[in-house]
Amino acid sequence: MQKFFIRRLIFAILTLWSITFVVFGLSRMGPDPLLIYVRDDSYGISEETLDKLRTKWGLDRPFHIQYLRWMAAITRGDFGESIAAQRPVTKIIAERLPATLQLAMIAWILASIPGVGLGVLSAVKRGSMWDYFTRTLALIGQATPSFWLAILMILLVAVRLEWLPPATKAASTESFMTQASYFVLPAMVLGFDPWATYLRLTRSSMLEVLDSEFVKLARAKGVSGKSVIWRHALRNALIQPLTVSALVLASFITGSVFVETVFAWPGIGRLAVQASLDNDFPVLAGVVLLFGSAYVFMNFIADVLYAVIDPRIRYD
Amino acid sequence: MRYMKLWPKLTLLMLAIAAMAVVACSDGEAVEPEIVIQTVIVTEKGDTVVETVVVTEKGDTVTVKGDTVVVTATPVLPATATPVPADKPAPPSKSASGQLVWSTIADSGIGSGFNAGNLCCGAKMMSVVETLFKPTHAGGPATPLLAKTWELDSTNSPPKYVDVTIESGIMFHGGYGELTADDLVWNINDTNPNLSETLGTGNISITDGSGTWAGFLGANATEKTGDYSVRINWESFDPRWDTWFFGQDGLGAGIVSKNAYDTEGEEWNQDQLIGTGPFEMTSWQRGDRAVFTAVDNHWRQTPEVTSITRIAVPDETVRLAQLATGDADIADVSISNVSEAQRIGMTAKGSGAARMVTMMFAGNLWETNHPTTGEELDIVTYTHDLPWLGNPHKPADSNNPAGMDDMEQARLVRQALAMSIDRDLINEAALSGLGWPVYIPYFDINNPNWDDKWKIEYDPDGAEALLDQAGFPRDSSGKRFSMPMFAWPIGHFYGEIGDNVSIFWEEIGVSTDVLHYEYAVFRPTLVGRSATQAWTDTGPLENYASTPWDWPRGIQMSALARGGKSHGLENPESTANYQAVSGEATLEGRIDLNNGYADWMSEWLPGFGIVASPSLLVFNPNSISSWDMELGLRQTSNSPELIKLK
Repeated sequence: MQKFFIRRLIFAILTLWSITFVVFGLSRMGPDPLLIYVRDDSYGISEETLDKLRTKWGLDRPFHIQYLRWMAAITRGDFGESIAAQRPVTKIIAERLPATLQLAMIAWILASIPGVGLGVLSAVKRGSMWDYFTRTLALIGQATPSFWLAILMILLVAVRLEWLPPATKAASTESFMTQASYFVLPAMVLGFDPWATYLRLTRSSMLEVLDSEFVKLARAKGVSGKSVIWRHALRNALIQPLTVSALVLASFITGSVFVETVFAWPGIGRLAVQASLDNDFPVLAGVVLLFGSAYVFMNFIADVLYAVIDPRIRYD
Repeated sequence: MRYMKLWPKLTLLMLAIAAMAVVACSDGEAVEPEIVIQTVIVTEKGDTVVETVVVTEKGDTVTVKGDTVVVTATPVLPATATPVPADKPAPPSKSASGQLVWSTIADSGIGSGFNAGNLCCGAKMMSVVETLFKPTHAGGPATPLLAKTWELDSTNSPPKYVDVTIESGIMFHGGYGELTADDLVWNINDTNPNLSETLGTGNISITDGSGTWAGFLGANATEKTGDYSVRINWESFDPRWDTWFFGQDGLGAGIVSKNAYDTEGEEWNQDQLIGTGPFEMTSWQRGDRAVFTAVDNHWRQTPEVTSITRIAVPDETVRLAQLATGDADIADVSISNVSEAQRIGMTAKGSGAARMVTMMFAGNLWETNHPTTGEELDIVTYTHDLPWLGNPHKPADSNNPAGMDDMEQARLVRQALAMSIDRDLINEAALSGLGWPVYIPYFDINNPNWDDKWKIEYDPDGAEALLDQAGFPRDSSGKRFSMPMFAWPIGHFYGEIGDNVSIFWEEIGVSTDVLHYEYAVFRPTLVGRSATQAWTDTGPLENYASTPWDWPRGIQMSALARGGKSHGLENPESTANYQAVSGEATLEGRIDLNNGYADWMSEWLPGFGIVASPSLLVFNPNSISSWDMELGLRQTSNSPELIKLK
């Protein structure tokens, strides 16, 4: 087990290193890296000033020196300053991260609990109307693009039915219920696809477990139906959904770009979009590294969880 | 077969989902629209009068200075849009009484921080900071704002400085004291990249037009001459000194508090804007929202509105949804969606600013030496003989018709491309008819100084004849040559314009590769002077329809802009015009020079105009009864202190 941990850790570090190399390398592929730091309104700048800026940002040094200096700064948690806002990137990310994490957690709850519940129902009532209904919904959930669903939900739930506000995050001065109402639509849209994933995974796992010998034995011994489903079968069937949860959470953090943009949610996803439009390389690099780290870390957790939960699994 | 009995239920389920979608997409009942008045410029007894009057429709009789005249001109500054019938009445606002929510495109519209915020757009547009002057559209002197009196240097021609005295008793927000000459000196010197010690030190990219400021002021410091008076010294006189450099809708120099900076430090000030305007920025969550609260008993104009919350909502559909539900009272919408907003009962309004969308033929680098340093310029665009690029360095290349040099050949090609597009049709298709044609960059057809000799008629047959004459006949497949065009990402307004233009070019046998990608990717080729394709954009800051006719034009078609972005164009005529107009002291002289520049532009067409797109926002008439903005140069709106609540 120890060897497994060490191996996974090395892979994680190598993956992260690759990400930094690609991110930095891409930023230096243009004819003059200074051009990514100089914005629209900068005409009339002398070559002398531009040379000073190259020196200031270390752009006059060889590629490998620039990369090593950049890596050294990153390991100290220093991602540099945003070109657009002239503020530390770490501070900007720290300001935006809580909104993304809040949305991700709520979306995860909205996806996992009903997803697992309906998955169980679908498996237990196999071949019934419930089964077809939930499977159809799951199919829709996995086939529907989130940006389209977001607009449709806004149009239907906010504009037509006027049940919920169409977008943005409520100000922190608003009441709890008001603030909560602003979470519902983006969290539902963000969680719709993973909800379907949970449902399908739980259903297939449950069907497999319900067909297993120990469940038949439990039934033969006269254990009640509810107890067989919830105490014996579900506990075993949850292994897959649980391990997938880590990746789902990572995807909520990294995959919220569309949802945050459509719902004007002030999180990391929108920051990434804005940084791309602003040509703000330091912010974009920080966000990409954060996304990469989230995936690598969650993958690592998922691997470990899998091994811990299911003793039959060994990676040696 | 056992599944067959489920089909009725599944069918019912599908029908229910379909019904939900239909409900979501269906329309409500129609009601009569409100009539919105238009602002126009009129012609009086044969002479053009630069008077703005309000009429209900074109052809109305109105009275100007006691004389009755008939409105004959196209609206010059369409501050309002033509009304579109509303399908349903506007919803009641969900905002508390006196408070407004403004759904805006991006946080950058609010201001990107202390530096850019005090200089640039959002803080001035929201009347948080104030400038010395307000612009006027006829050219000439501006209207004073913070300035009380001023006197231009009369000993030198052109003037070397101006003495300005400001109003006394103007207080900064937050109890940071009175505005004095010390604040002015500190702000203006720090605005100057050559002198800045705090705001713009070396950070060339954060200020609005810092390169222009550097060129205008040089290393000349502004001096205090009294408690409320200063002398502003400059390096090269610019007739726009008041409206553009110190005007509320120009480059900037919005005045912030030196006391706040000294007391609170730079970091604190990066999140605050301590100005003197009718609104105070009381909260700012970057990337999300900012709250602007009205200042009680303001020295100039106390707002009727209590507060305005600007929330950044990137998706336009969602901004429209917020209007429809009453969650937003004001929203930024693109020109193609103005009518959509009007259908849900909103009122459209603008400051009069309109972007003139142009097609630039990047790569035409005709200057050989830098205009000021005399250094030989690095020219990299003439590695291939491209039909739309004239090579002044090798005028007689192999594919020119007999007796025609390369410059003339390319000029005919550009003329043909300009003649081949139906601007009125593009206006209808892309701007819902709310815009108007543009023929040459920088010069708007509605300005009283416009001359129809610069008009480019839609003439596809004539365009084909010109291409034949230039030595580019159709081949067996009907194609003359291929050319690339950069047209922003798909879905972008400029992208749509580019697609429209390409259709017309294809009609005359020019196979057009429309390149849709982010401007951030294209821009380095403009800075590096390596772009060789046509591209569509609004172009320079002065390429707005309301730009006064006497303003210097052409810096972004000049090697003067080397080191930074230009149109990818450089020609001696633009350099000469920019320098001559900048140095010309009289209004008439500047107008004459620009008329000559328009003649040259019309003949050589380094770029040509397509359509002008008025900048409009929409608001809920149940929240706002009127908003009589000041006439704007480039910002969509201004003066929220003039909002009258319903």
